[in-house]
Amino acid sequence: MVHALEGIHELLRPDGCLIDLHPAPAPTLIEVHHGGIVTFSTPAPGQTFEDIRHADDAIALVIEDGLFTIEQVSQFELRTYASSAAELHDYIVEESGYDEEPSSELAALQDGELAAQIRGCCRRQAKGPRWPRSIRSESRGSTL
Amino acid sequence: MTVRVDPENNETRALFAVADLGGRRVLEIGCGTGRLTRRYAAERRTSLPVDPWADGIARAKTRLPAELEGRVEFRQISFSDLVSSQPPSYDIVILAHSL
Repeated sequence: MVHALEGIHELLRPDGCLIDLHPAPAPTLIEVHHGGIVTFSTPAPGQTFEDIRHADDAIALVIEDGLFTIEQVSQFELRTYASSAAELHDYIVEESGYDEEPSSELAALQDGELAAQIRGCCRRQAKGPRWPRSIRSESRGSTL
Repeated sequence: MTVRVDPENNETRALFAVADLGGRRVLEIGCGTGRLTRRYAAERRTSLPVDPWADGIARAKTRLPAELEGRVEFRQISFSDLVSSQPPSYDIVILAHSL
């Protein structure tokens, strides 16, 4: 990762700026919203923050070496809304082509206890007043 | 329901808070299917979003709105080839969840 940041430095003009967006080492949540209220919330299973910590370490190293200086760091929520666990699963599969093995999060959304919990929650809500509902996942990004 | 990503615009707001991208040469590394590119490129002059993932680049090209054609050039390229082939000419490099 340090090597990658050094390579990026070579692509920038002398007064250039690198903006790094990456998840914060905090759990991604899967939530069910109903009528503006969160009716179900759980961390996505199988999350590890090892890659994120490596990225943070690499950034710290290139700053220590004087290659970059930090101008600003901020955190934000990046939410993805879908109408069902299956829809969220299919979207993640379509948008991420890097992993050959399905992640624990994907597997749980497609099958297993989490998918059953979400389906049950949505079914119960469907019997009440009709409101838009979304399953939300979120991550935090940092800018360097 | 179509899947919606960041309808609150939190990501683009954070991006624009760091730097004014207007009229500057932008290189986006790890653009994937161009989700973020389409959001920031509307008001920018030129952008080169790259990714080694061929399917992602193909989808990104398909999804590019007509008004952005000519200003955004999606390219499939590995990081090492990118570094060896490009001069130090970019004002801004965006690492889009790819470090």
